[in-house]
Amino acid sequence: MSFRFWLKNMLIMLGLLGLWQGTIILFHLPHYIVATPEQVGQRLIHDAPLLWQHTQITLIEILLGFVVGFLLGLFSAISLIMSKILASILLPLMVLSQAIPIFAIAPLLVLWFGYGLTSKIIMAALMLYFPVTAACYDGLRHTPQSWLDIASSMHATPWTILWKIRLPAALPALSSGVRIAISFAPIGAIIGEWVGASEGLGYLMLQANARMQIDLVFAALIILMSLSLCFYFCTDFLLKKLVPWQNQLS
Amino acid sequence: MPLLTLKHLSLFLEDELLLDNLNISLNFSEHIAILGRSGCGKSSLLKVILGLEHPFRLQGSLSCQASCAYMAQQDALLPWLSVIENVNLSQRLQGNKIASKAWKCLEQVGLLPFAYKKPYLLSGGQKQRVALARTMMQETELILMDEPFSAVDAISRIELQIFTKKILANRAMILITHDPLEALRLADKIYVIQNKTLTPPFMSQHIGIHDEITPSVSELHTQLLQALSL
Repeated sequence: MSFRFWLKNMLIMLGLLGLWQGTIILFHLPHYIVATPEQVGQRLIHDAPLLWQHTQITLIEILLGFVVGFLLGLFSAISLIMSKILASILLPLMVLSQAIPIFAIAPLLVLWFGYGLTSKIIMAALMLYFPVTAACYDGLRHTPQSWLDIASSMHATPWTILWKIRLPAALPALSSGVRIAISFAPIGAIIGEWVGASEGLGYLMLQANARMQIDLVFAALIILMSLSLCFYFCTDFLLKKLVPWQNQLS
Repeated sequence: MPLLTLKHLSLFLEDELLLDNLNISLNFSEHIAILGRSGCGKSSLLKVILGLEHPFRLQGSLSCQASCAYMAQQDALLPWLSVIENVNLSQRLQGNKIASKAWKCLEQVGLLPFAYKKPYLLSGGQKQRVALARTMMQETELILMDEPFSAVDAISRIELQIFTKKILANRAMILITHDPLEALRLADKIYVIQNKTLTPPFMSQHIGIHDEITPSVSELHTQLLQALSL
């Protein structure tokens, strides 16, 4: 991360802020339609305790949704690869589950699991379950045949092959699964909060919107964006450290 | 009793005949090469002998009394393991730690200084040497090699052939190759796949790596090339 890198990104940020402010001035947009960067900045400072309180809730929903969804996806992918019978039952079910728009069942989830954290975590987990399963299953299926042949010729059992060859071999694919998961989890959590919640950034945005506190809506939005970016870059950094051969394989 | 016997063995892929009426009998510490053009089903035969999962239907009999080690066309080194861990793979898959033999094998191929490096940092020839050390690590009576040196440059290939020759003493080998010279260097008997079946074996004359190619070797080489092109 060089000085140039930071400088470039700072300039892009400043450019975007300028564009934002410029649009408001140019089109004479009233403050109850679009908040100015300055108003949003002040909200972020003055309402920091309020924003932090709701951020914590959303953060927990995102992280738990991520963990639950990812583990379920990974487990499903392993089951699919290990058992042909299970795969023949599970695969159509998964395609079917994908045909249900998650957004449409959000009200049902809130009805069944309440206004609390659970419905949002389930929402986030459902949101990322299928893409994660697909990525992991794909990775596990595409272990180079030569690695499997070598292991079989050494009389390794199917479980040993799974743990010591297939899973590590699929790590690059699993890490794309993680990347997908971490970018989907916030969407799930926010949708859940919009449909029915008593706390969280999504809830705060709806409330503020209804009261025409557009600057607060923007402030919550900026926090959400920063969270998503932060998650993405942290996982990306970690995965590059953990799977260093990722870009080395041809 | 031979280590490996193929009697009237035929391989079918669905209803298509791939290899027909193969007869081989391999004795202890005997080295044979199976020479064939690409796509003639040599590698398939090796998979069948190894007992790996394969899509073929077999006819005739195949009996293998020996334990087998396998060396593939690509090095097939695992990128998340270090060089020494790769050499130790057969032990690792049984849940064992790095055996002292692994160090010895790595030393034999001259790559001790690279023990803790990851394989993707090595050159093609070095990788194949690690694969060779991994094969040596397995104490098997029979080594099956599937064009093990086809992906490396000429000099590395010769070096690898020297190493292979060294480790082959006291072990039987089946070498699959499309290179007549390689077959002549490493094998006692050479079978050529011709019209989906094996020719009677050519007896090799054991040329060394640096040996001059005598007229008789040259004639054998020509014969092999002729057999291949039929």
